[in-house]
Amino acid sequence: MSKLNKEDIQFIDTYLSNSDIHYEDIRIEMIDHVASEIESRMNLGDDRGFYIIFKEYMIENKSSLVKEGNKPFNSKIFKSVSKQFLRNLYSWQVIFGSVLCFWLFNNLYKYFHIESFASTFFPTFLMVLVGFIPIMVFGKKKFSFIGNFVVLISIFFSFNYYFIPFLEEPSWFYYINLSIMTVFFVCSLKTMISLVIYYKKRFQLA
Amino acid sequence: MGNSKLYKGSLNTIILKLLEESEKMYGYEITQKVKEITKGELNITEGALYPALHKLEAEGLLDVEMQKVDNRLRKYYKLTEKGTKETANRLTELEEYIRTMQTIINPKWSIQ
Repeated sequence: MSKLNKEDIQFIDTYLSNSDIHYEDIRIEMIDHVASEIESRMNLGDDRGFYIIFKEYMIENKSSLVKEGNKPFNSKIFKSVSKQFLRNLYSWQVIFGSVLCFWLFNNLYKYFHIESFASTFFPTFLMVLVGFIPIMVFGKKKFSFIGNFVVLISIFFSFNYYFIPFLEEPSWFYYINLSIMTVFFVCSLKTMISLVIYYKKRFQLA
Repeated sequence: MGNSKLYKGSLNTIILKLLEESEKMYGYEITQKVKEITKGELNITEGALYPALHKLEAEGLLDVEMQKVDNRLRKYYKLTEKGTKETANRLTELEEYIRTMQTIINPKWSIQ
């Protein structure tokens, strides 16, 4: 039985990475698919060597292979992580955490004053805080569910900027905005942690 | 098969059916199994298979398990509890669809 060695696997990995397949979970699967096909051809008697068989396979299948892999956004995955986010809204951790954070954020807002530059900085800081978790755990490695969840977070916090000029403390609008942002932040934090745990358990990378 | 559009709508059900019969399978294994069962008539491309698998995973019908095999990681798929129930529903739907098609294509045969 012919088996590809570590260098061959590394070569496929680098090739796919250079073909813009950046999500680790998708690339791992494609490496295995390509390697399995090459090994199968070798075991059927093709003795032209790894590089020639690999080149031939890529000419035949590259477009089909990278069709899905190089998309940073996938609507199905986005829908799935959004649903997970909505489910988390009802968890006790999010409810309890939101109350606690609301008190904290409200005091911070009052301390720094809503008109100041700190208020525009605040949403960005929260977004970066949530987005920083996978970077701390996985480094440069990207995963499809996390990548699509970051899209959701970015949309929300970018949207939030439009309301900042209308926030006058104290007003109903101010408290409603702060409540929504707090709940979103705590729920994002919980969802992100659960996604990181999901990948950490399955991929045993960290 | 000449016209791949004919089976495109049934691809998810095919995957679920295969996973129902095996404990777990990986992507390449699924393509080879389909090729073997259909004696080469049906060839599932990577471009069709992986988006379908990721969609089923995103819907919570499949769970994944990673294993190190021959110097690389392999992603195995298996049915979740929800996936097992959904497989039964989708197979019933597909069978009904095939019966309906048969009544259209070959009415005499379907009456018998």
